[in-house]
Amino acid sequence: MNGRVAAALALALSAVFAASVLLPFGSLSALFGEDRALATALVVELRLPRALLAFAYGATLGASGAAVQALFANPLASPDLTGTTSGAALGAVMTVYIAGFTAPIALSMGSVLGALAALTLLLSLAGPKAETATLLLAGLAISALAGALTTLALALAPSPFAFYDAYDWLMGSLIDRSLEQAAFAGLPALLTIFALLRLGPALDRLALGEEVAQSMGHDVTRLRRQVICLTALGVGACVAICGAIGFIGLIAPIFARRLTRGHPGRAMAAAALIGALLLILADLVVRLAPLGRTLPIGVVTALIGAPFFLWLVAHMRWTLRA
Amino acid sequence: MRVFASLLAASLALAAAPSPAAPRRVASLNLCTDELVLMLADPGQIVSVTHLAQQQAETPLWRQARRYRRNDGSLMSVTPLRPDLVVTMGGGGRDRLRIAERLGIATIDLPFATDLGDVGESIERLSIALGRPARGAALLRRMIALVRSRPPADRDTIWLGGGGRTVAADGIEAQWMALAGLRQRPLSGDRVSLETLLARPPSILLRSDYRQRQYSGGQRWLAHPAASRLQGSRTVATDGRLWTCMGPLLIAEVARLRRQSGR
Amino acid sequence: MMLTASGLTLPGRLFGASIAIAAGELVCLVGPNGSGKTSLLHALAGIGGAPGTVALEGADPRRLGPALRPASLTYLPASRDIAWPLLARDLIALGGGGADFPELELAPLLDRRLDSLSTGERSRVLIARALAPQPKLLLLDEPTANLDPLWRIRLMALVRSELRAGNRAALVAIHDLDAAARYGDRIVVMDRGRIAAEGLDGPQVAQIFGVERGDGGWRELKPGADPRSSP
Repeated sequence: MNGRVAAALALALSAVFAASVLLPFGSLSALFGEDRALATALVVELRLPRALLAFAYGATLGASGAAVQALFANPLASPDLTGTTSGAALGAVMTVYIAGFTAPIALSMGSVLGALAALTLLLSLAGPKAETATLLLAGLAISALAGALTTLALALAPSPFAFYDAYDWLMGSLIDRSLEQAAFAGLPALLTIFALLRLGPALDRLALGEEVAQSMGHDVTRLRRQVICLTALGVGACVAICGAIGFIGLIAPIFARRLTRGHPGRAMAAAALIGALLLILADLVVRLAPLGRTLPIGVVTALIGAPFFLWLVAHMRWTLRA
Repeated sequence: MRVFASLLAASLALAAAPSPAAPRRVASLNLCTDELVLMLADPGQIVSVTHLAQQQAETPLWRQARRYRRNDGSLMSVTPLRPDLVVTMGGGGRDRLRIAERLGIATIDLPFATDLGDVGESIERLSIALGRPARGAALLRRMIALVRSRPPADRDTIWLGGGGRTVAADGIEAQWMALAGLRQRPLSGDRVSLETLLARPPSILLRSDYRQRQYSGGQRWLAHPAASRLQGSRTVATDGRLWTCMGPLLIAEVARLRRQSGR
Repeated sequence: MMLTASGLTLPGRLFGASIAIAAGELVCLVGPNGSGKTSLLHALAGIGGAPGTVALEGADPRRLGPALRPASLTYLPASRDIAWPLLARDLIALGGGGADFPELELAPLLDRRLDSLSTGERSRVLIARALAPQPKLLLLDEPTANLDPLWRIRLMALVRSELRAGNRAALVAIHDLDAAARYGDRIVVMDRGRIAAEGLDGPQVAQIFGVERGDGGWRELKPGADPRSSP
């Protein structure tokens, strides 16, 4: 990714971040006129955490999506298609609603463990050199199982609100999250992203094939373990606060690889920026769409992502034929 | 009776409650708290209720609710209205209480009622927070009167909603029914099958009319030919909206049910 | 000897193999399918963590990290599959080397995507990746597969000249016995996970392959025939 593109992406990201904090502007400026302290507090305590969460979650999905795709040498491996986000949601729900540990740290740990379990299960089911079909089937199986168990847990949970909270867990929500929550998701997310970026060169070499990468001195088993643990940490921390949001982890790396001439490892940085951009935009749609009801953010990302996914499948088939 | 005792205790607490400075801009973020706020606060105190409260299909207080700005249940949507008290229930992943605290907005978080005592407690807490203890006390007196004058709960009843939904024999719905002399039959699970209704019809079938005109899977269930062949039961219709929140709006409904069954 | 290795073992595939290669030597590794040619290359390249000792100019190359490894040895697998649509020049660059090889005529291919190249063109690009770091030891698995006869000759000539120029060595696994004889300074025969023979003339070679030399090439060995007697 050359400097100009990086600068353009950073600029676009700053612009939408600012938009996310400032819009809707009318009510904010009106409030500013009446009660300046409250208006400032509104921006700092409500809008800012929301924008920060969208940034952190989107960037994590992008970077870890690119990393997992590099690891499995497959452009369709992504946190949602491989069941990572579903597993994280299940871990979180089990921890809070069934086991009863409601402390934020317990929630995050439950979510991270759920993500780790899902990824480990994927690896043992599909194997590291899985064909696309096997990988997708295993991921589908894991997502389906995790989703069903999550819904079951929520239906059986003692709390009367569990079932209403299901929407937030399964389709994501950034509403009314505090700065503390943003930190709880954001700090592990940043750690994950920076640690993953350092694995970029190794993941690029993995593109030559696992054996060649080993012959070049890379410990592929260790690399695999690192990517999985980091992805579980970042994705888990974000799901614990915002629920499972899909498609960003699939689409962002695909765009990113176009900017890096196909290098899967180098693409992680671009994927993080693009993922953050996409999720903030999705959240803007949620907040500004004049529908009278609140759309779950996962619905918006699916509406953006699914047609793109269809196009990708058609395009892959068309290029193979050509 | 435990419920009675806790209602009485709540009433006494209200009688002794000092009247703090009453909040003047109250926002409610949940349908059930909307109903309580609409019943206990002065109209001039309320600035916002949820959009659900303004729908006729959801609550009998809808017309009253339409006087106020509607919110989407989020703290972010009511903050521009500069509330000085926010009333919440539930909320899952949202950190509203902490954020409101930092914004300098008072909050009161009510639990979802699991028995009549909870209803009394919520009335008590909210009416004190609103600076209207007298109104809370009045509602509680009506509830206590209802409890005192309850007939024996000896009519075998099944509460029936869309999709065959029914209620637990030991839940709060059954407690309200008991105040009308109706005993909810213990059933396994939260649904009753048409077979059960046909084979062992209850003496009273308490049918909720919630969203009766709207198409839904639940309504289709109720339209099953077998459902219309239920004999041996007396069907009594009840306003389904009241059974969402199980709050004090049921006081009047219980009185009506008593009259209907001649008690 | 530039390279000495002994006791290389991979469970089920390689049983304590040993090999020595001198600087400037092109050794061809032959053997039937499943004889362990690829496994031996893997063991030398540090793939799969095989026990055994390897000394390349006195040091164990398997201990080197990614920064120093390419200068020491490179490995070219038999499989030509690359998962990502990289440009040819980027793929070669990933190998860590800087040399280029006009003999391979890669100039028109460099800015094209790998998946748009023919199998032969892709092979040449992948070979360039392995050659570019100009390592002390080249480990090549079937480098001539997918190449036209002309390119086969050119490639092996290039490898040869590379070895001579830098006093380097190469171990090349190859299927075709004639090609092995033509290109290799030495031939090592493997059978069932072990080094079985040197050169193609010994009696065991016929047993191993099930073929014998006749005029005009190889022919199937008749069971019971004495491979030492002339046809």
